[in-house]
Amino acid sequence: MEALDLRRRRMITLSIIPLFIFLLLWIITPYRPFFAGLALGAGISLCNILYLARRIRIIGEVAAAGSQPRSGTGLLTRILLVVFGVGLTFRYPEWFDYRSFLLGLPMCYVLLIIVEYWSKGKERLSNRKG
Amino acid sequence: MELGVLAGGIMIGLAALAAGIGNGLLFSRYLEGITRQPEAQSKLFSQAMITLGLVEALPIISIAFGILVLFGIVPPK
Repeated sequence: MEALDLRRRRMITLSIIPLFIFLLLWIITPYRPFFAGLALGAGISLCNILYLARRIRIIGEVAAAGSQPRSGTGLLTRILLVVFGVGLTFRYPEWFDYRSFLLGLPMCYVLLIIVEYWSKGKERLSNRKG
Repeated sequence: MELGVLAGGIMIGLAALAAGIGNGLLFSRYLEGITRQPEAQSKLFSQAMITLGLVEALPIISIAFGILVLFGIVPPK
């Protein structure tokens, strides 16, 4: 589970940067609904990833203890979180642009792939050194 | 509006189908892997779960798209 914690920390570090940039652009540019939608989508996908990491840790701990894991990976909660975002874009179209919301949704999943390759590269490097 | 409902339904349904196939393939390979190498189970488990998150991203994003199409925010061309 240390590998999962390491990836989670890297994921948070890597996704805070674009989120901060989106918020900065939301403040300084006139395209406020676009960047608000982007930040909303990216924030929801970050929440989804962190929630998934938490559930994986719980399942892993239960499985390591030798008992049968009863909880799932929380797919319904993650879907409802996205539906909540869609609802916000429905309710406040003058604040959030739905196109940028849809663009922001896959952001953290792309970052997850980058983190995975990054971790693999570091592991390979440490194996070569050690 | 009718086309939108049809498009949204097909979008969500196909994404669920694809995610189901993806999850099935992923866990069959995972079980195959831990049967061959039981000592690699903890390493494979975290890898499999990360991939599960990636596979499940597709229906989640598709549901967002589908709802927008279903309720007519994004008109089908």
